[in-house]
Amino acid sequence: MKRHLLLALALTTVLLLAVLFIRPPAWATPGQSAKRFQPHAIAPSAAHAPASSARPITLQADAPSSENCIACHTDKKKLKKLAKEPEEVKSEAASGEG
Amino acid sequence: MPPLEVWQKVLVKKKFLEEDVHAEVGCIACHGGQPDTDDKDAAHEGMVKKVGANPAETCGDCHVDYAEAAQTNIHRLQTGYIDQLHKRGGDFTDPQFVTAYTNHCTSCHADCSDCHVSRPTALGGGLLSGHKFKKTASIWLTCGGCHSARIADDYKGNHEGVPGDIHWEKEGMLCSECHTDDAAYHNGSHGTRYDDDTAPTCTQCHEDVQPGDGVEQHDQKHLDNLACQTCHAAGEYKSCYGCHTGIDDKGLKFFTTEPSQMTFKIGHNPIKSEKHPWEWVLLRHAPTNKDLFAYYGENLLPDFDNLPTWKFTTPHNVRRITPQNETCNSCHGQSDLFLTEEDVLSDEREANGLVIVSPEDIPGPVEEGGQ
Repeated sequence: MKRHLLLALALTTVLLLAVLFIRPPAWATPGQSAKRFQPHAIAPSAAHAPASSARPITLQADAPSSENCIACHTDKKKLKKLAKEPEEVKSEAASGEG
Repeated sequence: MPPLEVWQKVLVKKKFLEEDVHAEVGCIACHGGQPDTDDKDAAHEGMVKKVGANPAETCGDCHVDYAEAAQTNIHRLQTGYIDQLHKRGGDFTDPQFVTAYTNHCTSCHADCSDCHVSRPTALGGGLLSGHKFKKTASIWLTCGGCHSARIADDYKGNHEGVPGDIHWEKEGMLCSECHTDDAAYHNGSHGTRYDDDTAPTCTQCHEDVQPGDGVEQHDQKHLDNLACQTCHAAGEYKSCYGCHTGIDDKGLKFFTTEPSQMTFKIGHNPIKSEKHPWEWVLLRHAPTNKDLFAYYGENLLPDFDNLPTWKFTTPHNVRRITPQNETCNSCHGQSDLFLTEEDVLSDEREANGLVIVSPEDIPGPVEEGGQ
């Protein structure tokens, strides 16, 4: 009986820790309030080292969701429908290589 | 390079989202914009398209040393252009000159993202590989995208009748194998790429090249007096002429250039230094001319003649055996190979006085097997 109680307590602790510390990447988190560009939203600390020169980063819990951006920018059909050719800005007077 | 459709330029690959560490911070953290709407215009409000344009505030959050180097980087700041225009008398405090420079020269600026994420903006931009960050820039789409006719086409052998560079053909060497991490595209330098102490030299790899190495023409005199490319460039390379700038009646900026020419000219070294000590080097005509900015004001390059228009060059079509080194007299006595006064436009002769070879200076024919 005591052994069962200890096992249940251990499982509960593991689950609690998992809920607290494991979370999806920032781009997959649900939408939050609109936020202006914050270039320093990523605080330097210890997690990933993508290149030899790279300072490791830690994601902040309040990083705004990128769900809408990704939904559109990974959808070829939608992009083809929405993308507009920019106005021709090349002068007719231009000539030659360069 | 093949053009991209507009939608292709902004298509993000799922592979990037799943595998690239840069995706973990999400789109908004770097690009800004509005997360709570799926309306295109509203979502893009306040968005920063080119994050790499300000490395200190973006890439530099993690890549501290590269962002620091970027503060003086030649690709970002165009120190080469600035140096050359300054030496020709360009006044960077003169509004007319600054307008001309800004309108016509700064589009060649490249920041971090122009090499590592997208095609250069100067060439229309567009994500390289669905937003995947390329540690090594793409040799043909980024390096070769900008440095095309005068580097990449030489290197690949695209100019008719001129073979490609042996470093590409035989070894498949990428730009970054010589132009290493320390070189000008990351670290800063003042002046042109040739002023950069970290720029590559042939002898970094070919350290066994020295008198007595078994190559007939590698005697002290030739090695001291000739830049490697003088003997080892495999043929003609592109020279450009007559760039003029202006704004049309619709307010659009434009430039015109005269047809380019394939040239091979040996001349006196205009940038003699400890690093470039040779007397004889290859020269290439740059498209600059006295009237380059004439649309914007009179005499905006008052000291134009301070620098030659036939400039020191290092063509990327290197091979061991070339037409000019097959025999001694493939070069000696071949006056067509040398830049003489008649090769230079009359109004550019003063500017090129240092590099023009007088007929009596052209090395005469020798008895084969001799020096």
